[in-house]
Amino acid sequence: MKCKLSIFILLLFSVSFAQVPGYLGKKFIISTGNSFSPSLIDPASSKTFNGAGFFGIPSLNSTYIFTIDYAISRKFNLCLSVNYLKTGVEYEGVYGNVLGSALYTGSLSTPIQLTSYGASIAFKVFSRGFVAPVGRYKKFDCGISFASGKYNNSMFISSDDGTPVGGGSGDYKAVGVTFGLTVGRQRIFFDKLTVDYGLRFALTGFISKDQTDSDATTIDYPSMIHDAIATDCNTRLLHHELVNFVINIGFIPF
Amino acid sequence: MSWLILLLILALFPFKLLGMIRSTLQKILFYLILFILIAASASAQYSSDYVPLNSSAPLPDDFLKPVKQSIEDEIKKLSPHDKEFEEKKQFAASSNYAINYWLLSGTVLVNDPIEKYINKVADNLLKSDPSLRNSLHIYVNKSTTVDTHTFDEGYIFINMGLIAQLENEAQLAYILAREIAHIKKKHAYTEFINVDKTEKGYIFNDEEYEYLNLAKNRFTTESETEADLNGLNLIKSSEYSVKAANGVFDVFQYAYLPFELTDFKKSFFEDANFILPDTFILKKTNIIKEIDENTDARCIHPNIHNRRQTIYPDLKAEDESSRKKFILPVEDFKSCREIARFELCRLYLQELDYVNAIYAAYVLLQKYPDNIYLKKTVIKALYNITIYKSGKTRNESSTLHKTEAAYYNLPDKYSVPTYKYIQGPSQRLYYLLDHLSADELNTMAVSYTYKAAKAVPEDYELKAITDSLLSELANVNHLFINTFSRMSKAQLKSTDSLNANKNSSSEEGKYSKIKQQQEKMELNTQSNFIKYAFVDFLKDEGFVNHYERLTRKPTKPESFEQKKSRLAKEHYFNAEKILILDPYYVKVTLGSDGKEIDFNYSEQTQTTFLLNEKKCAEQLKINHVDIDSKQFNATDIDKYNTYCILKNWVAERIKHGENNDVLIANSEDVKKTAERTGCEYMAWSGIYNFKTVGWRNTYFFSLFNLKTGEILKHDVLDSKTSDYGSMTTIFTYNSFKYIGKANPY
Repeated sequence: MKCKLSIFILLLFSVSFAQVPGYLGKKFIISTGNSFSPSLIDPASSKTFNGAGFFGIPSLNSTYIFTIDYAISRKFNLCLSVNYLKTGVEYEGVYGNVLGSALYTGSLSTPIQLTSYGASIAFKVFSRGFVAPVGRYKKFDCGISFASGKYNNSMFISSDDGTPVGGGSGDYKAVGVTFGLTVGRQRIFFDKLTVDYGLRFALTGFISKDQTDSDATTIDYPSMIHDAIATDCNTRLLHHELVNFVINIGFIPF
Repeated sequence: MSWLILLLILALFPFKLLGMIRSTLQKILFYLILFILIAASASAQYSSDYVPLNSSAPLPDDFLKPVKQSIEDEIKKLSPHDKEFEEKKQFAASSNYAINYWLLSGTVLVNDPIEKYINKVADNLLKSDPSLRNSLHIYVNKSTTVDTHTFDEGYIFINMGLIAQLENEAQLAYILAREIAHIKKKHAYTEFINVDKTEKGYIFNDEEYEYLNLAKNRFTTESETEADLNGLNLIKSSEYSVKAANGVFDVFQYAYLPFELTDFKKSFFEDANFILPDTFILKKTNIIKEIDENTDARCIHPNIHNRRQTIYPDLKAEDESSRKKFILPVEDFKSCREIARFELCRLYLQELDYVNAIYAAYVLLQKYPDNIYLKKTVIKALYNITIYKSGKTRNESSTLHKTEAAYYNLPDKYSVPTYKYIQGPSQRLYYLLDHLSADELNTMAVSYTYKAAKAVPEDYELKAITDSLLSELANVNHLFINTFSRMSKAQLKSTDSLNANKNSSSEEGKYSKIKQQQEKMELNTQSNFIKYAFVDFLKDEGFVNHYERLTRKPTKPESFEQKKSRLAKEHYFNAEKILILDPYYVKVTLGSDGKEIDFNYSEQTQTTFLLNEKKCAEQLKINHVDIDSKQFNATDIDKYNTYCILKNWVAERIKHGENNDVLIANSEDVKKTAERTGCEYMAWSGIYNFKTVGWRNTYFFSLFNLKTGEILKHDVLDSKTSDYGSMTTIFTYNSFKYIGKANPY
């Protein structure tokens, strides 16, 4: 259904803007690149684990992007993107509520493995004085991302008596919707090569947070731990999307 | 004539006694006949028409050498140990760029009769200094201003307006001598340093900067005075009259007046039936006064009075007995001046100075009453004044208006300049054209044009202008054929008196008496003069048919906005071939000493820009003919002439903004170019890249129809960015894509 919708939108614009400008008559740009965000939440590749936690300067987290741009008029580009993010989320060590808590006894240096696959549709609106696809633009995007996290659910013990407790499913899954604004610039070299760079600001809302909202009046360790890890993962994703420096390099095929 | 016959008889008389007298008379007769023949041929040359000057082959090296190379050559001459090495380097760049700007402005003539004559005068002036003579490059610049422009590198550009005002060869020699003095004293460099110092620390806007850049090549009062004195010394070393220099100051002082002061008579526009009322003629014109120039503070040139005072002692002391006002034949000078005066007629039109164009043509028509070129000058000027008086304006909100206003600092609408401050007899013409209403002026224009067209029935241009004026009369000024009387006032008066005699016997009714009274009043008043303008023309069936056909025009002429919106819907012009005119490119950077044009980059990028245009045209399958001023070679004189025609045409056309109804002075030449090249459309674009706090890039593109003179498309894109290659390509491609077919493949 999504695929059909995308094709319909593309066709609609192809028909309604019969005089597509493009660059020297070429309407498509295929590009690939990365978006980088500062890793405000640990871990980060630049940090080292010293037994108690990660220390060092924050580095950048990166999302891989593949984009197809299509010039629909003198001022607008339609963009379809897919992206892939792989990162880690640090274990908190202690998970619990007022009634009790669980401790993570596994290696803290191996974080929760978080991956996210996303797709988005966007419109690039070129600023006054520029003609698509060259020059300054504002890009408004809307995307959906499917996140999953793997954590070690067998290494949790009760903080009261040290007995092992279940750590949930060990598999976190969430679906988020992202709305973003990119302020960027696109340039073309040798009539073929494109370089597109800019700053992206985005907010993510979760359709599915993968949380059970466990009852605070009882101690349900698996749910409590899973929810806490899900919250950490969601927060990580949210932070990752907030501010990004995006750079794409591509070419103009036709 | 009888004295000439007598002289002929005496000269041929066979008596021996009269041998001495006879040989003298034969000599006199020979020279007299020669003079008459030359005078007659000169007069005959312009009796029916005049063909504007064109350049002749070969194009000098000055036009072929890239600016970059000129700058490098100049820098090679400098010593790196010179204290002012950096300043001199900057000056070399600035000056050579300005020279190139002048040379390729489209207004400079090459190997034309006037340039050849001026060069001969320079030869005479610098007989004793051949090396200096060889270093000079003297050209004629097509401008009405009474002025010259000189560069330290030895370039002298003498304006056509100045040639038209001169009285003798010695005056021209003194003008050249002054300019040579500027070159010898390197005044341009001195001024460059002075202006550069004042420029530092001050941020100029674009227009100020452009002005300042040209101002760097002008001279201050001190330099002018020094040139006056040194020029006079050069004249003293030649055979030319020294006292003639005084006349040059008269030329400068009264430069604002026409080249001749001939009383303007309204009969110029009148005929037996079209009589302009006396109220349109100014009784007394302003006396020509010496303009008060007591202070030099606000003038670039020192005031004339002071300059005369400075050179006066030298003038007084000089013995004139062996000196000459003419070394070359007088006729050569007169011929050149006459050509310059003819040229001025067209130049005034190009500069939208319509009243001066009519007056210049009026003066020359006294001498050459049948000259069709002069009549066309009058007609084109009347036509454009009529169009503007009839209410055609530029659209203030349009991008085209904004661009042209920025470049040319023009008002929204042309109007006849106020007559109040005009001095001399031309004031009457200003007064007349100012006071005639749109319909009166339109009627007068039709009357004048139709008579001219009748005299030359094979002239297509005159026919077309008559049709346009008739259409304007009927459809814009709403004067239909019934407005005009088919009987003259005299005929009506005689009919009236006959009727009066007939009716005197019979009893008259009250209403017929009123009617008769009104008719009498109308016959005696002058205000309805346009009613009788076409009495003779209305006897001509062709005229009547034409008028009626043009009146039946069903719709109002399409406005620019209507046309623009229609074209936007139609999108494509379906042109298969276009003419690409040399693009404009200037990059201004912020150096440590202030703003400066990046000369080398600008020249290189101008070439790249044109290549980009060609690439886009090829991509869109549009055939193109390009006029690239950077690719001229010595034999490309036809290309150079075409380049000049198009540059001048564009400069004039842009001044009229979106008013597509106006007539451009050299539109016929442009039509011929369109036919010769097979290009109906011409694309002209440019980039102005400027750095203040950040980059600012202005791109413009205009598409012209060379046959109709219309501006079909005008884009201006302002962006805060540098001018990287893909930006230029995308702008050009987007402008070009509408020229061709919707689907070129």
